[in-house]
Amino acid sequence: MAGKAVEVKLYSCDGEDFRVPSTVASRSETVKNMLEDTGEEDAVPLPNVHGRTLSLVLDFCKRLVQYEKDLQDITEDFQHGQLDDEFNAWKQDFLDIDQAVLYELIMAANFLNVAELLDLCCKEVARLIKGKSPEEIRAYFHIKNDFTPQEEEEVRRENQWAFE
Amino acid sequence: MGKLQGQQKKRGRKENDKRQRKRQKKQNKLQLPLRARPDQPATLEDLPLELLARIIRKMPFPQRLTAAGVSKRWKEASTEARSRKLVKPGMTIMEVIENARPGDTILLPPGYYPELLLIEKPLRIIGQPEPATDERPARPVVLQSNRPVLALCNARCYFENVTMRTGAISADRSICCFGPDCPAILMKNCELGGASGLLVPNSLGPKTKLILRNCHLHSVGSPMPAIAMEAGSLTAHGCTISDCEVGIEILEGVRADLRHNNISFTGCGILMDGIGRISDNVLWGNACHMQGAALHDPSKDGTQPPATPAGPQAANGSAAGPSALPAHLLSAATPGMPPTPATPQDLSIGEAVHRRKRAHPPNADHAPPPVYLSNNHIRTRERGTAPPRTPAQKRIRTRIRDLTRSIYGRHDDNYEDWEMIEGSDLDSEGDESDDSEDFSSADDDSSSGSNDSSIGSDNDWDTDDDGGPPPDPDGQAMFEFMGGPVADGGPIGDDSSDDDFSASSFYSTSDESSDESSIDESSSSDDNEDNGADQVNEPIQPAANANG
Repeated sequence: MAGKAVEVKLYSCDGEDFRVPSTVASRSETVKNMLEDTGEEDAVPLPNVHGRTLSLVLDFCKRLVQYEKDLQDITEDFQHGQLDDEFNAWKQDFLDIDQAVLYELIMAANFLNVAELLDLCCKEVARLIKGKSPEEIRAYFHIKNDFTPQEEEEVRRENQWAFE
Repeated sequence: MGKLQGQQKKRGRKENDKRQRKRQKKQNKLQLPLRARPDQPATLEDLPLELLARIIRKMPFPQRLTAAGVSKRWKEASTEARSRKLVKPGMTIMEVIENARPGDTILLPPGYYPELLLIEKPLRIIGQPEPATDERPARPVVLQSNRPVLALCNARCYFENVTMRTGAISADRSICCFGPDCPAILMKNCELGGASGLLVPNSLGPKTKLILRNCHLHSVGSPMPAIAMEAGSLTAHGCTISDCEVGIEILEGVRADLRHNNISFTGCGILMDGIGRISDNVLWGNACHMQGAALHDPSKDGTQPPATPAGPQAANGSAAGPSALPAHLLSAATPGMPPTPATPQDLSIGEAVHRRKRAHPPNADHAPPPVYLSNNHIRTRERGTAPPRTPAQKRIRTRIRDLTRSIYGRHDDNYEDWEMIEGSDLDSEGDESDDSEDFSSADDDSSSGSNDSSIGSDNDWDTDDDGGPPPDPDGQAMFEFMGGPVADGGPIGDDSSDDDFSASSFYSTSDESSDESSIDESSSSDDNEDNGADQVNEPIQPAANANG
């Protein structure tokens, strides 16, 4: 019995409930704190995380827990690299999602305080921005330019040192 | 016993209440919506500022800075993403540099930092000097060393409000060195003083950039120029260079953009063998203002002057339009330079350059590189524009001389340097004997007595069609416009005495100074020198009026 993980119940804002091992749920600092407060028997409501997003977050947490368990089990050094490659490939597939979902995921990761997921998603958005000029960024992400020409010139002058 | 149990119960209830409140607080926090429009697909703009800053922090340099130009919100996030590290008391700058990320800003409080800097990542190093107050003097940020290399930048670097000083002379090192991976060094409001100047060596590629804005370079020891460019490109805007053997040296193949600089008291102000633009600079007190293969009189090319309207108003409708730089003006203290009669038609050296380019095929070996010169001012003695000498001025001079003698005694006649100042106002004997001097006629005498009509040519505003003085929008009355209207009768400044600050006139011989007219002339020039500093903004007076 000692080896069996305790399951906890999480409720999303749209009423979906997720039963996950407490080791997985505890990857979220927010959920972990709540479990400490209320006990693992009570269901944890997450009223502002959508079921679809919570499912992705829990998928990531499960894979992360699996990866860390595998790391502990390996005996040879070369297996370490192999595990890393596998996990990185999985992350690539995981991030093959719509931009809107990606932003939802960032906000959920931030709210649930899953540092690894937040880091991964922020890096992905940074990758999308990389190499684009301000005009291209505005066009790509549908951002309105609210600078006056003078302000724009001032910003340009301030950062000129990096490009001259 | 019962009392103790009661206390325990009470404490237990308190803890329960506390836990309940904490849980309620967390629940309330959970109820907060993650974004403003939960019914619509999320966008990047829905992310809170700290998350946007977190994303920007993940971007590489210099893309992080590009993000600041997207919108106001992005600018705020970009500012939050960039870290600013302060060098605290007891820390060295290098400790902070080592812990900084590329693109970070390092803030230097006022103080004295006797350390060498090795910068191998793009950084902004900003001094925070304290201005002087009534209670205490200004406190600058000083980096100082006895080595010729004070900072080695092996990445793009930006310095602001920093003073760099070195005590070591080196002709092949730079006070702030480029490393092999450094594409650019930008300095703003910096002071560079000491024995070694700035050198961009030939070993660096042509893409290396040195950018100076509002910097002050001074006291660089001979034979090192304040700025020596053997490769790459130089942008110097609003800089002051003084007390150096050579101000700026641009070698062949180097691109230079020199604007609004003030270069004074150098052996040679600008040595230009490269290409680029030299405009709106003020050069004064240099033994030689400008020299170089790229700066020669276009009239010697055999090319025809352009069919542009002549006169100072020709180019931009201003007196300081693109103008020619006759060779005899370039080298004010080069006696061997043959006088070249310049005509009002070769006023636009910019035009002349383009004409040369057209006249000579690009592969022609003798085709000089293009240099665009405009609006540069060489400060000289201006006879026509000098304010007339007044009895009040003479009284001041006499009084100063008398008081000086009463304190310091008569000067030692054997001290040969007195010869140099004998003719100056302070000790001018002329004032004593020449009580009835017509002050305004002194200039006339010197003008007419001189063998040139040259600088005089300040009078030659009269040769303009409108017969009046040129407009002086900048109020630079005490400066002669380089390439301004010249006299038909002779070159501008064909003798070195035309430049008050040229070495040859400054160290005039005793014979000359003993001569009455020479004394007058030199005292007149000194007047101009003294007044010039204060009266730069006086409007130009018509030559005829000034000469009475």
